[in-house]
Amino acid sequence: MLEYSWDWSAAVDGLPLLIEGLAVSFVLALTVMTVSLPVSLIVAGARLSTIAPIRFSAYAYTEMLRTLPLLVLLTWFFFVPGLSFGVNLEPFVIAVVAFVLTTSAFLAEVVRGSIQSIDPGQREAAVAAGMTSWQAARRVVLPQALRRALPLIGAVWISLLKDTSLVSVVAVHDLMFEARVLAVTVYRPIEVLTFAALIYFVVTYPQGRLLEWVFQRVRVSE
Amino acid sequence: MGLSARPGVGVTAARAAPEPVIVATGVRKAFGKVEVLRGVDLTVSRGEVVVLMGPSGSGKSTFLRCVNRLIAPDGGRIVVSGVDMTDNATDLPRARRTIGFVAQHFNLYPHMSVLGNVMEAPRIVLGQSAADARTTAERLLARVGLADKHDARPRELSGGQQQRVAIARALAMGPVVMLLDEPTSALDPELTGEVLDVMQELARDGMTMIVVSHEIHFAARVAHRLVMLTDGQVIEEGTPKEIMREPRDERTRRFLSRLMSWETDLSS
Amino acid sequence: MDLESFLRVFLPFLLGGAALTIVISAAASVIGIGLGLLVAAGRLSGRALISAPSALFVDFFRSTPFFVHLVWFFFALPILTGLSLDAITTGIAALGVYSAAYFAEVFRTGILAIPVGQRDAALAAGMTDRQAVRRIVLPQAVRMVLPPMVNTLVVLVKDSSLFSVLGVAELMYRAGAASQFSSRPLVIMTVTGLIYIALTYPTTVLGSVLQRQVAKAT
Repeated sequence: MLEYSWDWSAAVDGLPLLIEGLAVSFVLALTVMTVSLPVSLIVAGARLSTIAPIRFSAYAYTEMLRTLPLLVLLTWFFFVPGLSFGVNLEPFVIAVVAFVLTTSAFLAEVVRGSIQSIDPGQREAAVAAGMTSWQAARRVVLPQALRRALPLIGAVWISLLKDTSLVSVVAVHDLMFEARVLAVTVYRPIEVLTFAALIYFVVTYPQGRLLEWVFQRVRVSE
Repeated sequence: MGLSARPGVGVTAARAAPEPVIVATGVRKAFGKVEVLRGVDLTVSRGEVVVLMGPSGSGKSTFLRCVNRLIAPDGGRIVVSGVDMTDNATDLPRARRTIGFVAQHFNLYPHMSVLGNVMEAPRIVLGQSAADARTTAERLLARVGLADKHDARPRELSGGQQQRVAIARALAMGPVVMLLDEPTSALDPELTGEVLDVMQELARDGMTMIVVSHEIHFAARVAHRLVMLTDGQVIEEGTPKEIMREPRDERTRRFLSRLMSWETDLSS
Repeated sequence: MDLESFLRVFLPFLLGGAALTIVISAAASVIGIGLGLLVAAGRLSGRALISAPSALFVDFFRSTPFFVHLVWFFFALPILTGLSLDAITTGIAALGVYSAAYFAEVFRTGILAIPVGQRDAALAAGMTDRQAVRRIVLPQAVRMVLPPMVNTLVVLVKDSSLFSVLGVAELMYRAGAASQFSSRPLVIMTVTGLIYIALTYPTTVLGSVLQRQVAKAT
């Protein structure tokens, strides 16, 4: 083993800082989710539109934003507004914008898939009873689709929580940022990062299991 | 061979000295705390067609799977063609070659053609040449009425067609006894006929069969013996006519009346 | 400098990074798939002594961000092994181990998705366990597993961009450097985005095609 003196107490002492970072991670994730959901509904609607240019634009949007690495988007918004347009954005704003773009793309796909998974007979029955297209969508199809989408939306949320770790590179003071700063400050990167990993695990894993349970319930009740 | 498929007439005489193919004694099985089989005794003679009936959860499918040891019983003994299936020392793959098995959901291999499905086990298990396996397969597929479906994939066939392929697949191994677990339960009503017809022909050709089924008409016409299984035990057995006309046990009576509530009277 | 000459200077620079991205992704994929198969087998094992740690491995890595592990491996691997390792090596090890958890989950759900009746039918016909698995279960499992595997590979390529934080000169790193150096980040970042799409989009399309094929077969 290379020379390394293990010292876990330094990491333990730094826990309050890490938890502060976790709070920022949470706030960021919640903000992103809140903005992304309505956006994703619009995009999903566009994906299902009968007007070809709208449909294609939405398709391009979702395909591109689901394939681009988050870091590319973060870096794009880090440099471009400032250097090309002289608009300096706050790190938190950069993070929110970049994440909303990707998250809304993933959510749009989830919503679209759920809507399309609803038996067309449902819409048929509603329209046959005299509802307009819009009423049928709002009162019959969408409620069922969103219920089906719930577990998948939960999965996107959990991914989002993990992905927020990237915003540390644009100096947002999330859990990962605090961890990296602390690691360097106390010269104990392994211990600190282990703690950071454990915090992420403790936060994420129960949510994952809860999600599985919801998944089962949704499937059983159908 | 060639026992009459009409029960009640000459059957007892023809079976004067039957040769037992399956002898099950005291079969017990529990899943966790639930006792599914509580001591089942059943003997099936060569050429006999036994229909196993009973309410859901009575253990019929479990018992069938104990016969070819897909499920290992907790207690009791099952001997098939002289081989003790409950003995841990028995070479199970070898013993299963003589037992044909057809399940409720067909379980055809989706990544092979119909012909491939029927040829698979004879080639892999019996080591037959492709040519020999093909000849047998073609003959059997013709026998079940699917001579024109050799190259089709299972998903292209109707449920009834798939089940007939499953029967041909089981016959390809040249079994001594056929086990059929609710072969028509997963089929649309208009498709059950084609499968039951194939089963009736099998019986007419003298195949020893245990069939788990709700199809009373089939049982009345084809079965030599009806065995009622309830709560993991055999509560009654006899010829179909005996059981259906005058059931001795109250539970049998209730089960049959529920089964026949939408049927018209059974004509003899 | 006009756009054309600008690109002529910077495009090869970026593409050099893309090459390294491909190398990193390929190496990590090999480790991830290989290790993932072992872990999946472990999870499906009947023995709790093997299945429990395997399950913990999968749950742990899937509940934590890759970034944390990337940096952790960077510091911890040299110390734990006593070897002096560079960022690329520790990074590939980290990405390999991390993706293995995801691959393992994909393999496990794939195998479990094959109906029990398939194995039953094979055994009932007299096949041994090995014959049943090799001829009947595995071919179907491979088909089932291909689409989600492709998706996991796409995520893997995206995660490779994090290597830039450790100073590895792959595509993302060069994009960041070029953005600062050239003061024309709009062009650089847009081109970078297009390169990433060019790298991953074919695999995404392949995944959808395979997905439809599997759906048709079941």
